[in-house]
Amino acid sequence: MIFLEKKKTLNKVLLLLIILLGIMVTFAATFGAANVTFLDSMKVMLSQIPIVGDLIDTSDINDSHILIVLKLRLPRIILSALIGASLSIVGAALQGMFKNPMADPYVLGISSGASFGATIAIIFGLESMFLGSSAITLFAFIGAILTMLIVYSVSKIGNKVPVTLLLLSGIAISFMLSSLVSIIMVFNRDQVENIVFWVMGSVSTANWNQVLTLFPIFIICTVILLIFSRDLNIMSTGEETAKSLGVDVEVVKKMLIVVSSLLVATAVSVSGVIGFVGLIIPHTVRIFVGSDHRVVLPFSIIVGAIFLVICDTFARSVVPPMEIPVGAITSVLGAPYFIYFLYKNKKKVF
Amino acid sequence: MNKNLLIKTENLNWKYSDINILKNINLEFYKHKFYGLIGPNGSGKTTLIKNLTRSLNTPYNSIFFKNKELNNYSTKELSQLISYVPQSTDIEFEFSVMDIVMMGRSPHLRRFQTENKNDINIVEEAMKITNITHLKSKNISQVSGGERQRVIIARALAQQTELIILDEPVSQLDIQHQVEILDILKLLVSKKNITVILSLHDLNIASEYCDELILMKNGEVFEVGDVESIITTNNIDKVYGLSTLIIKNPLSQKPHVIPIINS
Repeated sequence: MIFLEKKKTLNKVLLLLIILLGIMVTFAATFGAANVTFLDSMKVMLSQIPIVGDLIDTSDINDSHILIVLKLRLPRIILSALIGASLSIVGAALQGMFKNPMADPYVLGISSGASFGATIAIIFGLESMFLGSSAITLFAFIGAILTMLIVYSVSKIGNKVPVTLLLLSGIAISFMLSSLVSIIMVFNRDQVENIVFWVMGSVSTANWNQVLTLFPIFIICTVILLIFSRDLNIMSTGEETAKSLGVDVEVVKKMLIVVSSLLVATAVSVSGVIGFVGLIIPHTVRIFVGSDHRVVLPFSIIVGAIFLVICDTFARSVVPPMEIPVGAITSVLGAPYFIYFLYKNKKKVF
Repeated sequence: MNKNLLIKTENLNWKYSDINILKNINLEFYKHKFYGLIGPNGSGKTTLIKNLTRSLNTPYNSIFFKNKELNNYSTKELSQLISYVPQSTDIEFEFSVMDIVMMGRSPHLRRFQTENKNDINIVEEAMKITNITHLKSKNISQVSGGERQRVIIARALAQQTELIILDEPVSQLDIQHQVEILDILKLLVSKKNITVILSLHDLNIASEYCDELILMKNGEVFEVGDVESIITTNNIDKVYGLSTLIIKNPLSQKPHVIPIINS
C-alpha cells in the first residue's frame, strides 16, 4: 500500500476507530452493579464537556448513578484506555527500532524493574501517599527508570547503543530482577498475594489523580514518537541505510529509548505489568495497514485503547464481585484473536 | 585545484582492533566518471566504501568531499551529496516499492514537511529510469533480488546526489540482471552527470563498464588506471595469484579475462 495514495482512506478509518473508542468507553461505563443505561452514561459524559455540557440535561438521572459513572467507572475506563494506548504505541516504536517482532514495551527490563520496586514497597508496608500517588506507584516508577538506566549504560559503547546489546542486557537484567522478586516472595509469604496481584496488572485502584499523572506524559511522549515516525520507517530498513538517508540514527535511538521508557514506566507504575497488549496490538495493526509507522503508530494508539477498555470491562464484570487481573484477560482474550488473524494472513506479518 | 575533483582520500588508514584494514589510501575521484573497485575478498573494498560513505567512523583529515573534510558535513548534508547502496538490502518490514523509493526524498525534507508533488515527480522519474514503475504498489518483500536492487538504486536516485556509491550491487544476481543494473548505472553517468563508485567481483563486467579501475590488495591500492592498464596478466597474477589469458572482447575491444585452469 502506497502511503501517499492511501492517506485519505486511512484517515477516515482512523476517525471511525476513534468514534468506536468513544462508544466503547460509554458502553463500558454501563457495566457494573448499578444499572446505568447507555443513554444515561452518554449524557453524563457529554455533560462534562465544556459548552456542549450546558446543553445536556442530566436532571432525570439518579444522582448516585452520576457519581458512580464519574467517580468510579470513568477514571478506571479512561486509565485503561491510556495504558492500552501507551503500551501499544511504545511496542510499535520499539519493534521498529529493534527491527525485531518480539520486542515489546518491557524489552528494556522496565516491567521487572517496576515489579521489583513495587515489591519492595509492598513488603515494607509503605502505604503513605506522596504527591497524590501511593508509595507503591512511586517505587515502581523509580525501579523502572533505574533498570532502564542500567540496561542503557551496560549496552553503551562509546557514543553508540547497539540494539542487540540493548535487547540482551534488557533480558538479562529482567531475569535477575524477576528472580529477586520470587526470592522476596519466598521470605514474605504473607505478602505473596499482594505482590502477585500487582505484578499481574490491574487498574482496579484507578482514580482521577492517576489519569492526570499519565495523561500529560502520554500526550508529550506520543507527539514526540509521532514526529519521529518517518525516521523510524527509514531505520526499520537498516541502520546503515538510515544514516545514508540523513537520519542521525544514534540520536533518534536515544530519544526513542528515553521517551518510551518514561511513558511505559509511568503506565506500569499505576497499573502493574499488563502484558501482551504492547506486543500484539502493533502486529495486529500491521496485518491490516502495513509497516509504515506514520500509520502504525496512530492506529496502535486507538486499537490498543479500545482493546484494553474491553479487557478491563471483562476483568471487572465477568464474575462480580470478584476481579480478574486485567493482565491475565489480555492474553486469554487477545491470543485467540491474534492467532486467528495470524492464521488468516500468514504471509503478512513481518 | 581541479574543479572536477569530487572526493579524495589522503593517507586514509583504518584499523579494526589493531589490525590495519586500510593502509595509506590515496585516491582521487572526479565528476561524471564510472569507477570500479576490484580486488580479492578481504582486500578492503567494503571498508573503503564504508569510509567514503561515513558508515564507519571515518578518521579525521583522511577524506575530503569537494575539498571539505568529510566529518565536517552533518548527516543530513552528507545525505544530500552522497547516496549509498549497501551490500545487503534485505528489508523485513512491509513497505511498498514506492514508499521505499520515497524514503530517498527524506534528506531533502524538513522535520514537519510532507512529500509534495515535486517529490512524487522525482520518485516517479527514478522508478521510470530503473524500470520499476510497474512494481510501485508491490510489497518490497515480494519482489525478486534483481528488482529489489533496482528499487534501492531508484531510492539512491531520488536522493538526487552527485555521487552514488554501491557495494557489490550485482554479485548476487543472474547475468541478465547484472547487465540490466550496470546499464542503468552507466546511463546515469552519461546522461545524468552522476559519478558512480562501485565494487565488483567480476573482472570482465568491470572491464566492460568502468572508466577507471582501482585494484586493491591487502588493504592497499595496488594500482589505479584505465581498464587496459589494470586488467593485465601480470596484475592479476600478482593480486589474485591466478594465471590468466587476456584477450580483446571482439565487440567492445575491452580486455577479457580467461582463467587458465590446470587440469
